[in-house]
Amino acid sequence: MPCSNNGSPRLPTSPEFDAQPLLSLRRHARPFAAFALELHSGEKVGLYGINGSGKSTLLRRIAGLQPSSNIDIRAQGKLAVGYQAQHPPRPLGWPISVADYLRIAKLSAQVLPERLQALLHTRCDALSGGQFQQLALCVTLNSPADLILLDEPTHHLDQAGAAWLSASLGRHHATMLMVSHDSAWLALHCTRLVELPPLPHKDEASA
Amino acid sequence: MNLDGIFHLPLLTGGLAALLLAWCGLILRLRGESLAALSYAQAGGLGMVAAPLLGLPPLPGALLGAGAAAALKPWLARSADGLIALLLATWGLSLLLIANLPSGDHVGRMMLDGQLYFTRQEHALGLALALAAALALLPGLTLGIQREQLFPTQAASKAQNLQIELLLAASLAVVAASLGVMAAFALAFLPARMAFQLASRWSQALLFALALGLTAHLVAFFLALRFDQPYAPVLTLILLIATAGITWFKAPEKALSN
Repeated sequence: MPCSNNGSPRLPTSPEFDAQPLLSLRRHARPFAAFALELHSGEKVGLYGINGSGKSTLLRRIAGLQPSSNIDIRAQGKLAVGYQAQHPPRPLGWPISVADYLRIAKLSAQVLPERLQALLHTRCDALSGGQFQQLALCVTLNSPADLILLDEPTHHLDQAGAAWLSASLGRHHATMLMVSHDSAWLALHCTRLVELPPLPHKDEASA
Repeated sequence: MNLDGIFHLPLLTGGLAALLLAWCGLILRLRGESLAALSYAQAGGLGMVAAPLLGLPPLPGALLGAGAAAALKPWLARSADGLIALLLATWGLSLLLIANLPSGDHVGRMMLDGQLYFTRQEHALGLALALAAALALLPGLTLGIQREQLFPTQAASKAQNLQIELLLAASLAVVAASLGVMAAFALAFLPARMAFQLASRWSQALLFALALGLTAHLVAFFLALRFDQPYAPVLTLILLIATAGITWFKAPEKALSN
């Protein structure tokens, strides 16, 4: 069991990786259940749990987008973090083409899969949900990051998109923390799975 | 049409204003802050009306008013209500000063109607300086804003945000002092809105906004002269008609994509 909700969390260890973790975090009890995790360089950790267990909040906190007094994070030096939200900001109503999106992200069109190459001069708000998700994933996976955080990366992807993502993750060597409701998908793509404990029962929380 | 020499300066001033605010409008729209344009313009208007109380000419007064609004904006813009409160407060105070100051009627007309035909060299110079600052700063700042909006972990720096606020506030203040508050808002809001609808990429949006702003100014200038009408409302109505036309023209496309 990689985590415990009895108020004294244990850190799951991975002996095959460096002894010094790239990032360690500890979430105190209330409003969520206590939880601790160490991420080692090169690991791909899958985080799953029921709705409301705080998966997305945890990723946002690691990305520095959400202040939180009950999560302590210690990183090995200053980490460059690549983060893809469950719903990445989409330039709706903006005259931003796929080529513009890549230019803004400081990337070249070479990072795109073939089926997005053909849409280089299309406005981002004319892309389907799956096409935009794939574009956003391309940017996140090609960002110069020490740690990549993906929140529900298969969201909106069709079969071809999901296959592309599987192949991309297989080739990628960055440290990753991925969140998904689909623990079977995580098991296929991660070196380790961690379950975020469910919210403590009302009686337990007030005890 | 032969243009009398006395109209050369107004023609140039309006052209500079149109180019400057069409570009600023794109930035405001990217940040979802079109309402801030009206707040800055109205705060500039208040500064212009209050300038005699401080012993200042109208233009520095307008810059001071818009600058004060820019300084307050980080607190006010936490919700849209804050900017609306600023807008209503500056409008109310402006009209009270207009009613009670000896020079109120004259400055009030400058603020409300715009007095492009009585523009001075200082307005054109102020606009040329603001446009030069925009040329130097906006390409880099625009990229920073786009990056911040699309990739939230890459927030723009405080220095970048300060430069943007000051540039927007100064631009709107100078244009409000030259063309009037509502014409300044129309120039910041409508060409950018049309460009966002029409363009398929960012560089095209910039070209469209500049071209639409400048064309509207030229058409309004000559129509207002030809029919002896005030410039600011003619400009505003031309921009509104063009926006309505483009929205109507693009409507079938939008329906198809839904």
